Amino acid sequence: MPGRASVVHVHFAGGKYIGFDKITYGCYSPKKQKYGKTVIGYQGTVWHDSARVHGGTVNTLYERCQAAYHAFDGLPKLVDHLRILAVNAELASARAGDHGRAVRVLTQFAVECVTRLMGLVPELVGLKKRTYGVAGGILRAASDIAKLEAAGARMATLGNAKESLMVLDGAWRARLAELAASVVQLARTHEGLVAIAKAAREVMLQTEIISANIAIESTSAGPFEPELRAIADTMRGRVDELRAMIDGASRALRDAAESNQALAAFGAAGR
Amino acid sequence: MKCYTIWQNGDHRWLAFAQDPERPDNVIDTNQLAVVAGDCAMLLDPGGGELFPAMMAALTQEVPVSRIKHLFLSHQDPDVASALPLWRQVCGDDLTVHISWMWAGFVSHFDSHATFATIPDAGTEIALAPNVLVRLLPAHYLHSPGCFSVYDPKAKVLFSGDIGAALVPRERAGDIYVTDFDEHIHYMDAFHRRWMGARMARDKWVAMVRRLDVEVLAPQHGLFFKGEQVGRFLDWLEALPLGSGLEAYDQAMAKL
Repeated sequence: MPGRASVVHVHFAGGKYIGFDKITYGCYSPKKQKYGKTVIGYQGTVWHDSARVHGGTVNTLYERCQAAYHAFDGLPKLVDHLRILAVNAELASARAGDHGRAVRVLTQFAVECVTRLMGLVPELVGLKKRTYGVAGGILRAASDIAKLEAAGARMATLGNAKESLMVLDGAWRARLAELAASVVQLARTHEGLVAIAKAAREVMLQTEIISANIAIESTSAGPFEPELRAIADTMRGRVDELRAMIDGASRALRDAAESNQALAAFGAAGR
Repeated sequence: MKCYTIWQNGDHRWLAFAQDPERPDNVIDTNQLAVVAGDCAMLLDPGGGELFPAMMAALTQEVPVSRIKHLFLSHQDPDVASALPLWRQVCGDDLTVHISWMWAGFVSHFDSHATFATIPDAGTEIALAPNVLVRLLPAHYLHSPGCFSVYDPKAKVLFSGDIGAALVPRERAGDIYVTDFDEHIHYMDAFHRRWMGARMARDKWVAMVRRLDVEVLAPQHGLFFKGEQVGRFLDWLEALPLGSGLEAYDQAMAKL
């Protein structure tokens, strides 16, 4: 619906607000155009427009962080399954006597892998808590910034409030700086999660090799071959589950890194 | 958002900001008031976060934000206090936020960095200028257990918070004052019956207000009462059965 609209050009010098020009159009198309810090909408004007531009990024970041952790939701259960599997492998190799000697050695490595994987779980929980705390702060900051910008847009359109507009600009910059600091914290938790994903991938590769070797050793285990092969197959199945988990988390983390970079640019807009 | 000057004498003014035409329908309509005295301004129930942009824009047409020295929160509701962190960001460090001692810890959930000047149960006085003083009067249990009204003896204006609140349809809200009291009852009756649960508190508040010289009674929602309408409102409130939600207990118990 085309209508009457005003365009406000906000001027800054040396990072300080120095004034604005207002141009009113009799008829304006709904198509939006950007002019540096200002954007013209068909219903009126805006002051800063970063919240609208970056609002999607903030929500996406939150969703991607959730997706990364969600991918690891099944990790404690998987670790438990692997632990039981390692115990079964140990028992089966003991029953196999001399036929199971090599498998017994491999089982020790499997137990080590499970122990390493178990150690990642509390680390993951701690990191998740920190991430949600920081992401919640970012969402709140983005919401505040959107409201400060909406207030600024209205004040710029109405005019007659230069002093208050300068104060508002200061508050806007301060909130953006806080957001930028939170984004840095989020980047740190993100790095922590990347490190966990990397460690989980190492464990996965080691476990995959162990399961392949148990399968090979089972061929010379005589009557115990079916039992040991079944353990190797089950272990490979769990490895595939772990791989899917890590791949899912890695995808989400790559996406989150992109959002994080975009938000860092948003935060830098206040400087 | 519209700005109404309720009372003015020199640089001592009472302003009301209300009836924002851009307010979404799902966000309850609220009145925000400001008492201005020289270089000092006090915002009364500055409103919820959703309303902040409109309120900030309307207010700064009248008062530079640097003059806001006091924020008064009549009680803890989100339509009263959720914009607190935003106001604190735009107001100066000399801003004082007044709220009942009961709610300081609760309202901190809106803004954990805020500090409060807590109001004692019996109320207090705030000097806005050497010759301008407003009284914070108890309105406990109406509806919040820690609730205050604000009275300005010079302006004879009483800000009553949720007492006198009405949910007036947009198309009926032309003026800020009640013109047809009998019709207005339809917009405030159900609210008071349900929200106000304490008859003893109601009686005490009405008795207290009758001792004041009130020319304008301004609630946080709906229209204001002026002149003889103030008396009519007090008479109506005094006779109103309260606590309509109590019936739900009987309904629930009947099913047990």
